[in-house]
Amino acid sequence: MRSVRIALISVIVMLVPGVVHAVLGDIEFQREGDETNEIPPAVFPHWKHRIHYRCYVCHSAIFQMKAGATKITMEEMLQGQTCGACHNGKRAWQVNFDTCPMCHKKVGGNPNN
Amino acid sequence: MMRSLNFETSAPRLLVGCCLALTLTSGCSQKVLSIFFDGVESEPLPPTTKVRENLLAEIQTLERELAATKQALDAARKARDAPVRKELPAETAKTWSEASEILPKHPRTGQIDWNEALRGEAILPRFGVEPDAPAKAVLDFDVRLARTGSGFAAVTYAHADHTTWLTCGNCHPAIFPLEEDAPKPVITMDKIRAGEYCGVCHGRVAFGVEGACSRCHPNMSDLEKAG
Repeated sequence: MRSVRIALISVIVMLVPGVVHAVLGDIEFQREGDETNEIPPAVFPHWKHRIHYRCYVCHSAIFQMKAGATKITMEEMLQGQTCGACHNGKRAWQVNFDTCPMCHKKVGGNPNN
Repeated sequence: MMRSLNFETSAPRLLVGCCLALTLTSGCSQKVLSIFFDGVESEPLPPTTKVRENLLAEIQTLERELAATKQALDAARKARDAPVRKELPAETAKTWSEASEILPKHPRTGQIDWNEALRGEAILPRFGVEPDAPAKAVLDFDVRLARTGSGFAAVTYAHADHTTWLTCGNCHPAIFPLEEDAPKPVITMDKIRAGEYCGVCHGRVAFGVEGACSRCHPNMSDLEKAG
């Protein structure tokens, strides 16, 4: 059942090229396949990662330079790809059903934004 | 007509046969006996070539696993014994507005100066995922860009400022082609604003162009609108 839910969400949360910027340094992704629009799209705090890492740690091996050019799905993440390369519970917090709001939040609606 | 079995004549024959069979089996080695009788222990057979190969492969796998485990153990010990660096104020910032208060500003434009943040150690970004990952080489090589607009707006691009963060492959050849036969990129402010060339980062995750002319065009004031 859980895997079905993960699969469903990963389909919903597929990102497309095309982004808006919440603040300079944040990248808010837009996605396709989201008809219900119940879950807000992911907002990536680029600035936070930049304080901790050089650009080349993630670019271009994990993410292409152009925002939105790399498709990101929850399914791939859980297999250790894209954000899941670090967000695996070892290097950084685990991507799971307890941590959805860390990324999926309305712009301005979360103190981490 | 069937000959009836004559007990008197067949009995000694049977007896002789049994004795012969007993003598033969008792003379047999355990190895042969174990073929006919359960519970007779046989000596272990020498491994066949196939079995031997499988065993060797298994030993190799175990040795590899052992080496990997030892390596992981060393890494864990190293991480445990590493001196804990105190978190910098910028690293503890919870919000972008908090972080942007802390990070140093460019003296002319007031924008965040990430390179100054590096120089002044307001931030200590890692070179890799692991804390002790080595730095990549910085390329100190200025490129005087050909003009696309007015003469005095010429730009000298400093590789050094960029390669402390980025590696060659981040920009070349996808954003700025390097091949001899590739068309020379025509970089205009409009294209930068639209997110092309420098605009892949500048205006998005690095300082924007508005009110910041002089950061790239040294001869321009920041109030002038770049053409």
